[in-house]
Amino acid sequence: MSTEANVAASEIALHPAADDPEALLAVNGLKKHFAIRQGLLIRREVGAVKAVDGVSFSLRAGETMGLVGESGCGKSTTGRVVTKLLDPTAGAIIFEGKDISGYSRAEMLPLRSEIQVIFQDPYSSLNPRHTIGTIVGAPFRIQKTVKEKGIKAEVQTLMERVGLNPEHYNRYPHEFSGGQRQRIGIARAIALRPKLIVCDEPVSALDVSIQAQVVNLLEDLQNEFNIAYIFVAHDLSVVRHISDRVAVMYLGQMMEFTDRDTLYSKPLHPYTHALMSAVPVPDPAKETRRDRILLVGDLPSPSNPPPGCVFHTRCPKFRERLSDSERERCQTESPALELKAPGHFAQCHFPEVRADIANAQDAGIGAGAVESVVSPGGVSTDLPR
Amino acid sequence: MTMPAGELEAVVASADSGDADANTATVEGRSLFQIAWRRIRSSKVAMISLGVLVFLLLIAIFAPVLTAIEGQDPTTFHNTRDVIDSGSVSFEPGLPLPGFKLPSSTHWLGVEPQTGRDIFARIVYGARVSLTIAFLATLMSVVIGTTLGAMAAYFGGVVDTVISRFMDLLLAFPQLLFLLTLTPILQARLGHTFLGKGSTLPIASLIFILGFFGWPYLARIVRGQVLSLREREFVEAARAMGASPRRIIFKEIIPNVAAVVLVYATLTIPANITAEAALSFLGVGVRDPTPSWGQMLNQSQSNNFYQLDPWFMLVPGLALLITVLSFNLLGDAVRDALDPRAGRS
Repeated sequence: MSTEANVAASEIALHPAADDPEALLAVNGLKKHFAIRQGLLIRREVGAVKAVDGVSFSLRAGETMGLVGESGCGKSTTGRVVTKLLDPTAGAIIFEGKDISGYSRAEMLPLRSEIQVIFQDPYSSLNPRHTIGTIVGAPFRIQKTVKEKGIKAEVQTLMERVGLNPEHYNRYPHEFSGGQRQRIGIARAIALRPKLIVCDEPVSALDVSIQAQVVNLLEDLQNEFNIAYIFVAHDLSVVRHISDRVAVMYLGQMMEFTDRDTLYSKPLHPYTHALMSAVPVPDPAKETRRDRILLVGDLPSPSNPPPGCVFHTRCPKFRERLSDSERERCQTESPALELKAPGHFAQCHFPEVRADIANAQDAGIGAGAVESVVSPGGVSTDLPR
Repeated sequence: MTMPAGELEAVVASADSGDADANTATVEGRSLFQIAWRRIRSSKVAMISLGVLVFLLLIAIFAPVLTAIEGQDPTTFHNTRDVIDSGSVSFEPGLPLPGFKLPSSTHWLGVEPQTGRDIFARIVYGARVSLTIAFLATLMSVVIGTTLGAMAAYFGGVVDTVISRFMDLLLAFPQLLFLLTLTPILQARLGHTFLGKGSTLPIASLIFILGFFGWPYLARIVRGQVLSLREREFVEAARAMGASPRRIIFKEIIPNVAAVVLVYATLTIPANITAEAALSFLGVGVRDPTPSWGQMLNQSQSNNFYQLDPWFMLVPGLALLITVLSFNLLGDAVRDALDPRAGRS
C-alpha cells in the first residue's frame, strides 16, 4: 500500500460523517424505515422494513463514493433518501452546511439543480412518449434556468458532450440502444451543472463494453464540472475503478467505510472479505486455485434484523473461527462503525486484515481496462490512477 | 485507466449504424401514434370505417347545405296525401299511409307518417344531434376519468380512497334506471339555470348525464395503468428535477396512458350514441321537434307506425347500425394498432 493513500485516508475525520469542513455532503445516522401496515379498515402499523438503518458518511466536492452491497441491502434506498426522493425516517443529510433532511418539496426546489440522479434502468428512466429534446430539456423548463428559445441549443450542446448525435434531438427513446439511452440520462442529470449526482447502478443494466464507455464518460464529466458522485453498484470492479472512497452496506447498515485503496488492499470486515472473494478473477489458473468465501443462508429480513451484529447469522468468521464467548458478543452486542485503522471504519467486533483476499482481486471492468500490476505471486501492488 | 478513445468512438458508431437513416440530415423520430397510424392505414376495415365516419361527420356538419339542396327542412309538416301519389287507396289526411313510402325526388327518403316531415332532413339533422351528444359526452367522461383516475393512483392514500369509493358508488347505480329518472328531473329542475333553454336543454342534459356516468369505467382503467407508471424511474427523474405533481401527472404520466384512453374513447362514442338513442327512444332524451335517431325510432314505434310503415323505422335504425359498427371496428383497429405486442409495420 502506498503511504499516499494512508495520508489521504487519515484526513477522513474520526467519525465518518463528523464535521469535515470541506464536506459537500455529510450524512449522519440516516434511517429509512418503511411501515408495514395491517388491518382491513384501521391500518395499524405492525412493524417496519428497516431498509436503511443508521448510515453515516461524508463526501467532498468532486469525489466519488462507491456504495456496494448485495441486493436488498439498502444502497439504492440510501441514494434515494440522499436525493430526497424518499423522506428519511431519522438522521441528518447535510448538504453544503444545511440539513436538508426535513426540507419540503418547495424548499428542495432550488437544490434540485445541485443534486441529481442517474438511474439504473435506461429503459424505464426515459419517458417513452417524449423526444430526447424534451427529456434533456426538461430540467431547464422545470427550473426555468434557460429561456424557451435557448433550450434547443443547450440540449444539443449537452447531447454532443455526452457523445450523442445532436441531430437525434427529435427521436424517441425506443430508437436508441441501452448505452445511448444511459448517455441521455447522463445528459439530463448534468444539464443543470449539479454538484452531486447519485448514480443508482448506472452501468448494471449495460453490456460490459458499454459499461466502460459510460464509466469513462462519468469520470470525464466529473473532472470537467467537479461533480461529486455517490456511485451505487454491486460490481466491485467498477466501484474500485471509479471511487475515491467506498462504503460497504449490509442489511441497511454500513459495514465498512474507507478510501478505495485501503478497502481493496486491507479489507477488515468479514462481509467485505466475502464480497471480494465473490468477484471472479480473470485468470483461469488463479480462479481455480483461489479460496472463495461462501456466504451460507439467506439474507435476513430487514423487517426483523438479527440481534447483535446484523451479519453474525451469515458471518464465516463467526461460524468457524470465534470462541463461544466471542460469539456471544456478536449475538448480543451490536458493533458500532468505529475507526479500526487510520481512516478505516468498520462495524465489527473482530475485524482483521485479509490481504490474501484483496490480493486475489485485481479484476477491473475487463482485465485490459485496469492498469494493475500483478506480481508473479499474485500479490498486487498499488493502483496508479 | 481509461479506455482508448478510438475504441469508444467505434462502439458508439457501430451502435448508430443499426439505424439505417441515422446519418441523414433530418432525423425525425417516430412516435407511437405515428407508428399506430401506419398500421391503421394498412388495415382495410379500419380505413373503410374511418371513411364512413368522416362521411358521416361531413353529413352532420353540412346538414343545412344538404337539406337546402333537397329543398326540404326537418320540421315542416306535409300533407301525406300530397306527398304520396297513390290513387289506389283513399286516405284520411293525417293518418299514416300503409306500406313503404319509397324515396322520391322531392323527399329523398320519404316522409314521416302522420306529420309528413321529410325523413332525409331529419336523418341528417339527427346525425348532428346524435354525434354531438356522443362526442361531447365522451369528451367529458375522458377528461374527468383520466384526470381523476391518474390523481387517485398518483397521490394514493386518502385521495385514492375518496375517488375510488365515489367511483364504486357511481358504478353501483342501476344506470339505465337512473338515467331514466334523472334526465327528466335534471331537465325540469336544473336545466333552465345551468344547461340552457329550448332545444339545447335536452341535448345538454344528455351530454351531462352520459358524460357524468361514463367516467368511472375509464378512471378505473387509467388508475390501474398509472399505479404501475408512477413507479417508473422517469417519474422519479422528474421529481428529482423538482417537477410539480401537476406537471408529472399531465406531462409525464398521462401521455403514457393516451393509447388506452384513445381506445376507450373510440369504443365509448358508439356506446353513447346507442345510449342517447335508447334514452330518446324511451322518451326521456331528445324531444320532438328536435330530430335525433333515437327520437325517430321512438316515433316509429309509437302508435305502432312501424307495422304500417317499416321504412320509417328502418332508416334511422340503419343509420345507427352503420355508425356504431364503424366506430366499433375503428376502435378495434386502433386498439390493435396501439398494442405493442403486435408486429411492427
